[in-house]
Amino acid sequence: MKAGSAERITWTGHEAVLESARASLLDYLRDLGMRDPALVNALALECLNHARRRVGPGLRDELLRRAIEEVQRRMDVAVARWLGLNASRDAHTIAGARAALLMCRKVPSTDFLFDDPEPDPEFVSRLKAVLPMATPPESPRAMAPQKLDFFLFKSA
Amino acid sequence: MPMSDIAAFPRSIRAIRRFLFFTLVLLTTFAALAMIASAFQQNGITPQELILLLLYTLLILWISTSFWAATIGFWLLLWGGDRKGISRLAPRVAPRPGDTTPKRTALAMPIYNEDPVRVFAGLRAIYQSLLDTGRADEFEFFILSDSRNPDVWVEEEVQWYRMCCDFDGHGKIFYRNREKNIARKSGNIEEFCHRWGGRYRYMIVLDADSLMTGATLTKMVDLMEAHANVALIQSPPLPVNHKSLFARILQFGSSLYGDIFTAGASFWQLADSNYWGHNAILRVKPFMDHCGLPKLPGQEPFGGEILSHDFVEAALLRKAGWEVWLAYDLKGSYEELPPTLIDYAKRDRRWCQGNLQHLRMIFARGFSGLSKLHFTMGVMSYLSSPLWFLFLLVTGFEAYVQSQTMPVYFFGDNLFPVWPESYAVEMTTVLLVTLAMLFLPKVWGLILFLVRGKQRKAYGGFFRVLLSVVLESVFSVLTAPILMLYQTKFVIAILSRRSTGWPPQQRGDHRLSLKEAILAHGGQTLIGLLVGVVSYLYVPSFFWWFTPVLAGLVFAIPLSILSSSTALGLLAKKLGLFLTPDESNPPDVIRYLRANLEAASATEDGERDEQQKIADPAVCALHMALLPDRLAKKRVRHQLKALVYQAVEEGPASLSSSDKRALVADPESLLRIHTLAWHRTHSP
Repeated sequence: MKAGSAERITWTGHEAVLESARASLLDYLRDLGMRDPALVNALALECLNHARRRVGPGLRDELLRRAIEEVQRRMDVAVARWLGLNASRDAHTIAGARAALLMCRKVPSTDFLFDDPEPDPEFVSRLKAVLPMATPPESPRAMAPQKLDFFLFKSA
Repeated sequence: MPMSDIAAFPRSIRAIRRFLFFTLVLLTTFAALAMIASAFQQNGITPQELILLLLYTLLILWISTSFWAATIGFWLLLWGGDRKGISRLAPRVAPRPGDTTPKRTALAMPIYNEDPVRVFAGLRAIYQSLLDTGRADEFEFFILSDSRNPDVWVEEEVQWYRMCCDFDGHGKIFYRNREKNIARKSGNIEEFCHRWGGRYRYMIVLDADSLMTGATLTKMVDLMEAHANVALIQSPPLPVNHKSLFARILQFGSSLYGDIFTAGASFWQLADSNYWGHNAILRVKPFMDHCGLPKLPGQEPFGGEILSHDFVEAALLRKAGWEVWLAYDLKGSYEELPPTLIDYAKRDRRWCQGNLQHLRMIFARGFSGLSKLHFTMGVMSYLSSPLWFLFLLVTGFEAYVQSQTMPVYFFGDNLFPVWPESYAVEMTTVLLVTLAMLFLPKVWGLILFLVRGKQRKAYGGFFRVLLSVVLESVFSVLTAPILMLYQTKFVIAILSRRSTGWPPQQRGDHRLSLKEAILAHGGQTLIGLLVGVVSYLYVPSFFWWFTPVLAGLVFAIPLSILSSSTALGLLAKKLGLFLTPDESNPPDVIRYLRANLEAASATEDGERDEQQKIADPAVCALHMALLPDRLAKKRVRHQLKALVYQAVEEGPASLSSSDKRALVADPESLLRIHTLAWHRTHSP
């Protein structure tokens, strides 16, 4: 089979496809810093079920892709809730918060995003302080090209 | 214009120093010319002798300029330095605040497809050194990326964010990747100024391999604060860090002789010095007011974008009445050299095109004579090679003609023979004077080394330094004809409108293969052999004079391979040869760099391929966070979808680098390829 192509599996192998996708999704959730086995299992199942509704049987890669997108959506919603943001409007800030959680803040796990009912204000403020800020606010100034006159050559 | 109520640097000092310098240069040139002309006039001047005289005039002028700069620099350093240098001038603070921009300095580093690990190891080292000064709050770091390679782009972001996290540098260390790299490096800096210029009073421009100590950075800011008429201070960067034999020899030469040249240049240039493009501090407001570069009408090499922008920017600042200084005595400013002879030549290829474009700048109205001289010197640094080549060619031809001429001893009714006059003494003197001017700066460097007792040990002791100077001189004699042929080829290629493009530099140590060396130097070796055989057969007396030039060409291939060797470089270091103080007792900033590089090599991040990077949810989230919040047009979205399907069906390897960049630059496509990459990297 060509690498990267979507696998089409017969109906008889559908359970195996689901199991394979679930195993991959569990790995992905662990890569997102989730550690609690019960939470990880439950979330994986929910996301797979959500994805199954949109994907035909046997398309493992497509199923996994949709499930991963659902994981990301849920993660974004959870992060948005913690930071008091709008998940669809503040997509870049939320992505930044995810990066901060995984790369900078080095939390032991990201389970709290789904577990804890109320955001911890102190943690939130610390997280906000390390959000990736690539550039400062702009402070524009004009820089007009200078006129250059030449002997023998055409002027600029 | 700078504020008129601040005392400008006295004109009389400039005039006296320049008069002295140019008088010495011109007198030396005339003396050498007089000797050679007297020899030529024996039987009237032939056309080839006239050409030789013309070429020799240009070349000796060039050599004597360099020689007198070195000699004056040596004299100044022997007596404790220049009291009129910018570092020792009394402050000239403005009585009223002219620039209301916050006293904040941007450390701007333009990069283009460089190794992100090395770039950020260097930036970390600079930041660490700055933290040691306790004045890091006065500075902000700005990484100005023009990188097109998506893999490099993503890795730069990761390195940037890690640096922010490790040093708690959020809001102090910034990163921007330009969507379109218009006008290359100068356009990169210009875009930064357009967007954030109002935020900074000063900007220190760094190269990707620049290193500067915190003490030097703060000193530069203090100097700018103390001299309100100054728009630019250039520090002389010292080459460091490479281990190949080639780079170590050049590092040694720069360390031992470099400061006599910069001190000499500063002596006569004073407040009208030049800008070398990096390791310099600029006052942002005048830079923005006067240094916007136009695109020159016409085709390359003289038209199009201004490539060597630094010289032009300095000329524009001087034209506007601002002072531009070379702080020759500022230490703690470093850069890295190309590690091999071939890489050195490649760098020359790029610089050559920019410098030749200055031929046009010489004809620009409104620039001072000194600015035009800077442009001329820039042109001559490459044009001198084809001139030398031509000189050697005509000399060979002249020697052949002379060898074919039968002497006539009896004229008319004379009973006694008329012996041909010998001008061997004059010609030998000319040769010796030329050689002396080329090699005496090395002697000046050696004498300074002896005078500065404290540094002896750091250079490895007297005998090792002496041996290193001799070996360095032999090496430079052998490599000079190779570079001469390279530069001659470059000049011809550029004048015949073959563009250089904008290839990134290969900065890391790497040994050349035999194939690479043969491809690069095979032609030169053949030329050397051919000229050797022809001159030996037809003008044997000339052949022996020509052997130093021929030896370099004939042995170009082994010389290039051996000098690229890191093992030989390290062996020489072990033997105490070509040692420099910055190598034997490195400053903190270099120690930090080495520690950072070691720490980076201990992690496997640098080893990850682009698939693994984009598959990492953290990396993907970071990249997503830094993308501009902009919806692609419908047509573009369809094109991107097609690329995603191509990646799915044919694998990511089927995509070009620009396709991959387009995908990672679009948030929706990014998520798709992240999922794809994650799946691929986690498949059994």
